Amino acid sequence: MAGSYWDKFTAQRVSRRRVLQGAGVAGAAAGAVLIVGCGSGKSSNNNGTSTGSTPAGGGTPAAPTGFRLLNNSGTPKAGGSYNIGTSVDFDTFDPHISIAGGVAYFPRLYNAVINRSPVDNNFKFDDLASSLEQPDSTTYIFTMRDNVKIGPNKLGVPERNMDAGDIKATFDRIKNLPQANAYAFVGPNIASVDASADGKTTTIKTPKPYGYFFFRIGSAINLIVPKELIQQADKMKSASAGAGPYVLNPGDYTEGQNAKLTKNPSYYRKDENNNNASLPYLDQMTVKIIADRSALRTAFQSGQTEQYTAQDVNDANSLQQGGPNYTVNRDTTNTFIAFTMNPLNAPWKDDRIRKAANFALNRQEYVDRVYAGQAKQNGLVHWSLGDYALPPSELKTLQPFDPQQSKQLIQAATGNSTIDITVMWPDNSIIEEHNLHLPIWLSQMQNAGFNIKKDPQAFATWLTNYTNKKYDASLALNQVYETAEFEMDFESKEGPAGSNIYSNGLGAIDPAIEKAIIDSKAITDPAAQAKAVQEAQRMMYAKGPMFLPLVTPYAFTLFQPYVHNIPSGIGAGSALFLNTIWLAK
Amino acid sequence: MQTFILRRLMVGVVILIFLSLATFVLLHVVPGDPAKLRCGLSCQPEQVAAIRHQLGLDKPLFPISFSGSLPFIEFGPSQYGDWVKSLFSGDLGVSQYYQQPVATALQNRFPVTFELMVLTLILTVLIGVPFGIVSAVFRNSAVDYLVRTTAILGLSVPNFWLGTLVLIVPVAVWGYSPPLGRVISFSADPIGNLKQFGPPAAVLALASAAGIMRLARSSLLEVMRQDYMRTARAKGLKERAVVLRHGLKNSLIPVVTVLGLQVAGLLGGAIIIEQIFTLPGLGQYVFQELLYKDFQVVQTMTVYVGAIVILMNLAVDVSYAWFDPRIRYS
Repeated sequence: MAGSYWDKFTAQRVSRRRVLQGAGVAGAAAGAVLIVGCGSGKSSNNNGTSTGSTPAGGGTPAAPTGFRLLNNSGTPKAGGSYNIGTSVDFDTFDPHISIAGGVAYFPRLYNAVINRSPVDNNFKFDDLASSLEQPDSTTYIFTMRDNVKIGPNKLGVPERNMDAGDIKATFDRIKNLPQANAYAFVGPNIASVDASADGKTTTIKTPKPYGYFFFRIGSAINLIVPKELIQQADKMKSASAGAGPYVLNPGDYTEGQNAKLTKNPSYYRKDENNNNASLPYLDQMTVKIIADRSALRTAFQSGQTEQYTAQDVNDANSLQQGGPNYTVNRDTTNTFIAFTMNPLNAPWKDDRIRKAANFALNRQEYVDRVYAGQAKQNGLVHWSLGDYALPPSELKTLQPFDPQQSKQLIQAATGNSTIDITVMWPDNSIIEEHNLHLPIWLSQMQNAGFNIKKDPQAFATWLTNYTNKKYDASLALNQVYETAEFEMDFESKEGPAGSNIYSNGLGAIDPAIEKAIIDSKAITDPAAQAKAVQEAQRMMYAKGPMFLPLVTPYAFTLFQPYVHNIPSGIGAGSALFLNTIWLAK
Repeated sequence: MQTFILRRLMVGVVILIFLSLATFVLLHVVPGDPAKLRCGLSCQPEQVAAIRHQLGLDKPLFPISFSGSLPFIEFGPSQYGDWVKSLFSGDLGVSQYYQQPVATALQNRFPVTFELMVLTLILTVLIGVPFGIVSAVFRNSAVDYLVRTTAILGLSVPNFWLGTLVLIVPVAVWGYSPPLGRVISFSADPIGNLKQFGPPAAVLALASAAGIMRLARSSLLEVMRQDYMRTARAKGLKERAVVLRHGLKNSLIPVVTVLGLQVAGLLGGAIIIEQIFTLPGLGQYVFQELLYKDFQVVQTMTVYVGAIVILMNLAVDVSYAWFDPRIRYS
């Protein structure tokens, strides 16, 4: 799933990455999170609490090595209210159509069928489903967990166990709701959803094998809502009723101020590491709307919030100096700024010019200057997607920083050592990273022989031109891609989600690449799919790639010293499903 | 006086009609489709169409269209017509961003902005007028120079910068900040309320108080040169009585005029200050909706603010008669 530019725009200088990161690690739930291997259907009790934990406070956190809980000492204690500041106000609490702040909190209110971490394939969180059977590559039979009970609520939804009918009702709704965020996924990728008569089994069929199925079905925009609530969807705008760890009661959201999520006493998960204590530990989670970054930071420093996502490592370090012994979570993100070329327009239709652009960029300069070293260079798939990305050693040969080679390629293509290009970008960007990337990018391209005719545009104009593919080249705002699918799609004939917008990818001029992209989607084994995605990238490099994600940074989230069991290492989207946090105060 | 007020109100209505048309046209001329902005990256054309329909953006802009056959002019549903109707009916529709009724949001947020404005105006008057008097009375003294220098500083410092400083310095030095992320009502907790609204009001008031101070000073100096002031002194009145009873009231006319005009300026400044201090008022609401190209809300707020400015100007004009009984409206 990809976040939109608009997500970023509305975020008022806070990227969706930050929204998710900020909220993602804040929930409370299982020290004994039950992680179940979906593919095999076997259960394990790997709660991850003992692996690679980082001591509280201070110092530079270790690089992510998989799931772990930070500041995990002590016996968990129930109770307390957890305050989070967010710069993104809620639009609606309807999980299927919200595009703003709510997205980061829906897993607190509702359940997924299953969730798989995009950054750690070993992390699989079975929620409504307790097991899975796959008789063929297009059929998924989920057996429902029998103790996921809808909590007490004020929307009149009966306190019953969630069943297969809820899954069917949810996907039927999304399929018939064009404004739903997951409409683009459900429409082409889900052929049917059937619920067994006893409500214990759900069968989902895809029209063809689809390798990103688990990532998509478990995302925060595909959460399962009780069927009774779907019948009265208007009530979801400002309240909730479900079987998630918390409930939002009517009146507990005050527009522009805060939303108070109250513990669901019926939540089914227990902490196996703490005598099966009920989860979540927190009585309440209050999400405070604090639009300004300085105010967010101030609220954290003055103890009005329990966590803060720093602007960058320098911001995190400055807070630690002289402050309390904050716990710092350095986690991977899925964001980057990309350079997009239109291979159907001159001069980018010439493979050599695209390759020249690839060699013109010194990606390490962005790592050092924009992110103070806390980022990594990307290939055509960003590095935090693990095996889907090409290894750094290979990238050194596929995308070396070599302005001389750029000039030679330009010379070979045009007879001159320089070439004029027109590049658009959103002017006066409210996204800090974009403003920091732009001058570096302009300088690098200029030094490699590209004479740039600058075409900065108002955001809305730029977005319209981008979606209508009216551009030669564009430096794009940072984007959030939780799987490799969208990066691959940019290089395909029809662009992201097959909607024929944003890009004319290499697939439009090279059928072999188009086939490689389409074939990679159909591979359902993650390891084999990752290999296929890598192979497709090699083909793109050989042809001259048209979509260049530059670098992807780490995110730094600080927590008050008394916050314990902070999930880390699985990506913010997956961490949203965990509710391990407790407060020692 | 009644005729004067009636005439001014009628002119105000005409201004509002033009304002509504200008706002409507300008917002629709600016490039960018709100439906596309609302949709995600993977938005399909039918999703955009559905959102456009939901927002009423698939209707014509104006209720009048021209046709090739008699009667050549057709009237029908339109975006402008729907909006104007909603202004009168009070049903302002649903916010594109918040998905909640706009009227309810305005109702909830108005008290926040109103309190901020009132507090700011009180601080503006309390700071600006007395210092203006002091500065005028002690003209060219050290006190005068100090006050005038401070006023120039107040006018020069941007309020967004000052507001940020007011947030980050106390928390860095004392670990203190005003309450953020919730509104404390005055009736429930007066002290907490003032802790919350005091700093932003002070930041907003600084520049306006500086302006008022300079104006009060120059106006009072002007008045103090008048013959009747000399007469007042000649008949043996104390200087304090001369200044406060005879000088001050007469010097306040330009001050009141500017104070009235400042209300509009303060509403503009509130957009930034409410953002910085996390006050969920009208300014923050409009800012959010503006980013979202929510035509309905931005148009409505522009017309409402326009109406407030017109009414404030009228109130200022009417108040002249109280300050100077020689002024008559006919």
